[in-house]
Amino acid sequence: MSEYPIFVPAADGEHLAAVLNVPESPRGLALLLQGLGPPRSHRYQLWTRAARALADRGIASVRLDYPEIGDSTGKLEATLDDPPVDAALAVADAALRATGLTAFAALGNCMGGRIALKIQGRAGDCRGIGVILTGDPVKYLARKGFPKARGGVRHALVRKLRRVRGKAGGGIRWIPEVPKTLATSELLVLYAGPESTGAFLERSLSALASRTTGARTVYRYLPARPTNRFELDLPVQQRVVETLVDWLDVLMPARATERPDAAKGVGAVP
Amino acid sequence: MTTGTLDLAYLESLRRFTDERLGVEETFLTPELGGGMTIAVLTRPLGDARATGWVICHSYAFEQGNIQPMETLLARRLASAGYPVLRFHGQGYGDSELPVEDTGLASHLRDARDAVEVLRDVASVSHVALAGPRLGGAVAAAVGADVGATGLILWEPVARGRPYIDGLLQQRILAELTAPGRKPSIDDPLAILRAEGVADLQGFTLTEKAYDEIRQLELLERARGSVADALVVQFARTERPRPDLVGLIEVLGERGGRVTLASIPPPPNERPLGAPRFRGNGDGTKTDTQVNLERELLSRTMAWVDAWSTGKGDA
Repeated sequence: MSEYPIFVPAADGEHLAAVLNVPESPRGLALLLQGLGPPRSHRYQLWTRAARALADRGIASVRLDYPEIGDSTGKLEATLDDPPVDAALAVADAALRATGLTAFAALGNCMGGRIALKIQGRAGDCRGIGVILTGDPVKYLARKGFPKARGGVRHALVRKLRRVRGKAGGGIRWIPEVPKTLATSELLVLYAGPESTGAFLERSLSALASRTTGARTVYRYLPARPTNRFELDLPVQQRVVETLVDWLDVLMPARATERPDAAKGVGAVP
Repeated sequence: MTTGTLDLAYLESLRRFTDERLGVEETFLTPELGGGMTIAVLTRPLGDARATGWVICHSYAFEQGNIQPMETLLARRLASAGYPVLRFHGQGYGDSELPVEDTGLASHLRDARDAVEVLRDVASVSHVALAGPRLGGAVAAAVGADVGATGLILWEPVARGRPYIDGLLQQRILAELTAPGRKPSIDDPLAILRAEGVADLQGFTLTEKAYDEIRQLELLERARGSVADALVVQFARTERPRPDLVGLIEVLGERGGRVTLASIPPPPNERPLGAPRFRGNGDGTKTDTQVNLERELLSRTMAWVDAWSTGKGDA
């Protein structure tokens, strides 16, 4: 395995610091995207550890500092709804060019998860998108605000009742990137948090997948304290790395000529 | 599926960049520090370089990542002023090779000494100066005394290890108590550390060895013999040095080094140096809680550097 630190040119003369990990005979590239705040290695080397574990399975990876973070230059004025997608794409393109690979997957947590969903289909031959969620998953995957009133008070009451029962469109008003991803790539949702919230998320994903032709979803649940940040717990950190590596290992098979079906479907981490 | 062919020439072309606006060039290095590979950045001025180069020593545990953006800015400002600067990830941090379990005060000191040698090799400097925040400040002062550094920039240096490391453990308890949805835990992290040899410091692996090493740190003893001119920055409303810094300032001046204390009043509504920089607002946005702190810190630091560069040695 070799590591290459690089400065990728970006808009307005800025430069994005990134590290590309390449095993001997790579079979695909994973883009690792943290939330707003931590540098490219993520907190406590989480991405560094994931990158090396991926390299052991023959998968290359690249991780980056967003503008103004770590060793990158520039200014970052990002929000969850307007994350630095162009920066991630510039680094993904540079890594694909440098490695000559086409098979591609992106995964991230918090703002990084939103970026991963937004770059689906815009880099390489996108095999899958992975999203790591903690705390309140609705915050990351649902549209803001309320649906437009339709059909008056009676319909509004029915909708509210269905939502309470968890039957209103699967329970979550998904941002458009989620169904779009489901229709074209495999979607991994890894949730670390309370079991009841995880069960709600799993039901909602299943409902959405059942309405999407050819949808391939993989849901993984990690029991965790109801914290908002998964990286604050050592055992959860380790399980996250193992789960991501196992998922990508199946997603990017060494010899397969066709795309694999979803690894084990919706379910909990064994 | 393509298995890929590595374009090494393309990767080599991305190892460095030049920024005319800042007047600096940055190059990624992959040196061996402390017995393992790691990643470092050498920042150089575009024009003539001065004979003194700076090494920036990062702080401990989660403070490393939280303060890093300020260290990057400091490196670029110093390079703009003509100094080659090396910043690096010590073992157990960032892109380094060795695991976090090997990290402690001894590894910080060892890696900083190795980084000084790397700077001497790659930048051909005749004098070395060191900078660092918090525990990185202590490391800078200690290594600076060992290697005959001519300059020191110490941001809120840790003069005594015991209150520092115990404070980090207390922060863990506070985080447990205030995290949304968490059940308050009254587990004593020190008791866990002693029983299991490892404690979870908000996601950072604190080993008993590291705890004991840092707890025993008395910077006055380590920094004795320093000949460097030094800037000591404290966040305080008074111009008088904090009690724990009084002795350090005396020791740093014992061999003729000119010591300047800069007191910066803690900016209101901002988090202290070392704390997480961004605060979520609950609506998908985050607020940078250290805008004024960073501006003041860099401004006061560079004012001292400018004065030091012209031989006055005092801001």
